[in-house]
Amino acid sequence: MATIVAPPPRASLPRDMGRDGGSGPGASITHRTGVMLGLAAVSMMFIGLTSAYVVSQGLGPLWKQVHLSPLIGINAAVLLASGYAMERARRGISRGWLIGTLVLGVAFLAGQVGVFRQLADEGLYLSTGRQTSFYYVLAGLHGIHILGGVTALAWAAVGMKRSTLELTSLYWHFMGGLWLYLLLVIFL
Amino acid sequence: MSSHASTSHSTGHAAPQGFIRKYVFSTDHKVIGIQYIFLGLFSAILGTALSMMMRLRLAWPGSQFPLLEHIFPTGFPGGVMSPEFYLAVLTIHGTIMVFFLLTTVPLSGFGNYILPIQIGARDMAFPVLNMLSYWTTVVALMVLMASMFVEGGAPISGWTAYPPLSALGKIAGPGLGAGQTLWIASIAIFCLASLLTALNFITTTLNMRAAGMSLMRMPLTVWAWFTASTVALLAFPVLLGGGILLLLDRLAGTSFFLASGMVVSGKVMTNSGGSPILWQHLFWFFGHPEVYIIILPGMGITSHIISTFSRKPIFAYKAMVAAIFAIGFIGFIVWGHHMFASGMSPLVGMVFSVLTLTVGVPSAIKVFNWLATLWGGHIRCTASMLYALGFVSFFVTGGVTGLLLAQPAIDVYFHDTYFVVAHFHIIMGLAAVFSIFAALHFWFPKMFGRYMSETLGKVHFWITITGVYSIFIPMHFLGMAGAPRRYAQFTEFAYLSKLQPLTIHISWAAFVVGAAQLILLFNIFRSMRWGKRAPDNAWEATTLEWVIPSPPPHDNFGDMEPVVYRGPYEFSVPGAKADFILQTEQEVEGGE
Repeated sequence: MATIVAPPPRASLPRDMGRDGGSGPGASITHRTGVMLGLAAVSMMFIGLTSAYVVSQGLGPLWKQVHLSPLIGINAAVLLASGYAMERARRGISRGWLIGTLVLGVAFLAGQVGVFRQLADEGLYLSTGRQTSFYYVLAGLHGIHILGGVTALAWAAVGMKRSTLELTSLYWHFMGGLWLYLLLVIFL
Repeated sequence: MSSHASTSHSTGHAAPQGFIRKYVFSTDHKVIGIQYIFLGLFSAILGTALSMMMRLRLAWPGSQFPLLEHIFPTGFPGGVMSPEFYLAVLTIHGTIMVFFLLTTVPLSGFGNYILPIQIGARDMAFPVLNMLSYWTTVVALMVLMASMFVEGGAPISGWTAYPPLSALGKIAGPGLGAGQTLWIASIAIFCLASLLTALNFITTTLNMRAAGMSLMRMPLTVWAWFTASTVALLAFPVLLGGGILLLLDRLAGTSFFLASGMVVSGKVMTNSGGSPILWQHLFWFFGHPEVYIIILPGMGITSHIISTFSRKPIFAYKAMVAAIFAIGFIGFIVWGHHMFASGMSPLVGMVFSVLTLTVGVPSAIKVFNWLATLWGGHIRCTASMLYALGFVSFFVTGGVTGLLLAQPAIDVYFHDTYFVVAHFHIIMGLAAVFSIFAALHFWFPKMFGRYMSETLGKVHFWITITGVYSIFIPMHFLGMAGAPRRYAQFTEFAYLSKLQPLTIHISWAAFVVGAAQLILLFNIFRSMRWGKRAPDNAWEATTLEWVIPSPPPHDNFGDMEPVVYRGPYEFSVPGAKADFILQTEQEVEGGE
């Protein structure tokens, strides 16, 4: 009974086997699944909030506009550039590109705070109008996630393991795409 | 080859030493499962005590209770519970029961303990995350408890926390200041903990199955936990998002849920342009799937236990899996049926109504399959089996009223009456609680190596099931007569005063049921120490948890590498030696 060695019928072998490479094995399927499910949860939160945004648009006349400023465009470009750097870092296991990604990430965050400052100068505060409120909430929550990503990038830069790089890039690209989605929802 | 695999596993999983790493901040899924169950037990005791206080107030509105005044001086001025305190008790009762008992125990509690073993894994995919999820849940419970001890006391806005009441702050009433803020914080923390647990369950089910454990060989419990986790992963983030908006309305002066031109306590509010209905959409987009997060594990547990004690394979396994999925999916598109009375367009109401009635199809499939499994079986009437049958009973009686409430024309009348209270207590509260009882009796021998007392279990079952039906069947009549929910007393209304004897009857039945739970508590703690010793396969069942010792060792399977050769419910197979065949048993060839 205890000596079961024959392969079972319709065997599903444990898929959790790492691939060996230059900087250690790639991310295991388990960790990949974990990150992707986490991103699914993040998506649901933003889907909930953006649907609330769309519904709120139809509610009344007090819809104040946050305008598409040049700084918002620059920030988006910085985030896209960081995505490119991330991809270079992941493919080449390159610490230089990874630090580049990190710097661009921090620059994006600084730019986002700059947008908040500009809005405040225009007299658009968190509680001024519903669209302004939504802008602060969406950009703020996205910023918090970017902050988490920057921490992960720093962690990845210390260890330079292929698996960490793969998982971090998955997260980072998602956050880039998420910001583009939010921009489309807010300004289209 | 298999020895190589097993040693590599064993070295990665040395049992922790020391009390704190072993029992407090443990990463062992079995310890965490039991921690969740005890957290649920504590919540159940607290939640039940609160409901007893409400029944006292409803049945004898004018009577004085000096003892309770002694304990809650502000809540019982002159020994009579104030209506505001009644609402606070109601809010905490609902919140504690829904989140910290019904969501926590069937999914996080039993799921944690049993799921990894049933799929042949040595632990969850992310053990440390699992530990963090548990302790985050504890923090959420503590924050909720703290809301009772701040100025103004606990919030009075119910477990659904509808704005504007919940969004305005102290000005709107007692408990709506710091208490409400802490309530929202508690729920936000709980959301985080739950979705991390869900993430862990899904990853574990997808990636940690033993060799041979194909998806269609998984026990229905695993399917149910997997689906409930998927629902939780997608539903809790929406509540978290809504909670953040609600918190900002309270703390930062935003108007997401607050309309223009409100006058509150004689003061004109400056908020403008928001909509309280928006919260209802966000809340119920989470809130309805939440009901299925609660009930799906119960369905899995019931299927598992009915098959085991009928000594028959579950009837139509694939249909059961499909029904679990269908219920989980449809759960996401029916939230509007909670809002028929919110002034929604009749067309939208119609759509939500039809979608809601659709849930009846997979639900009926499940009930018929449970009955078909019982049909012609060699039924073993254990306490666990009785509770599982109780689940089926509640699922039918509670489900039938659901079909009534799903129709806008009827719901407009029943909305916010005791009919709704009776409906959801039966389908969500009692059904899930009976699945907990069933699971507890069923897996107790695995967890502690000893049986719970069957006699005490059966006594507890019969008192509880007759008691709760005496509570909730009359409650439907109260609702049909138009008794509104959330009111501290009905005696002021002429049309309801004749029904006061019914209210008193319900209260007495509630006290009997409450007292009967002491039997269960006694049974649990007595059996841990003095229960009859159980063999490894305590119920002659088939799934992987019965292959290993009771209680299981730290890495579940020790040196053994579990390999699965067959489906989960091979009972009474013709020609087999026993009336059950373990999933690990190989094909018997030529009479070995």
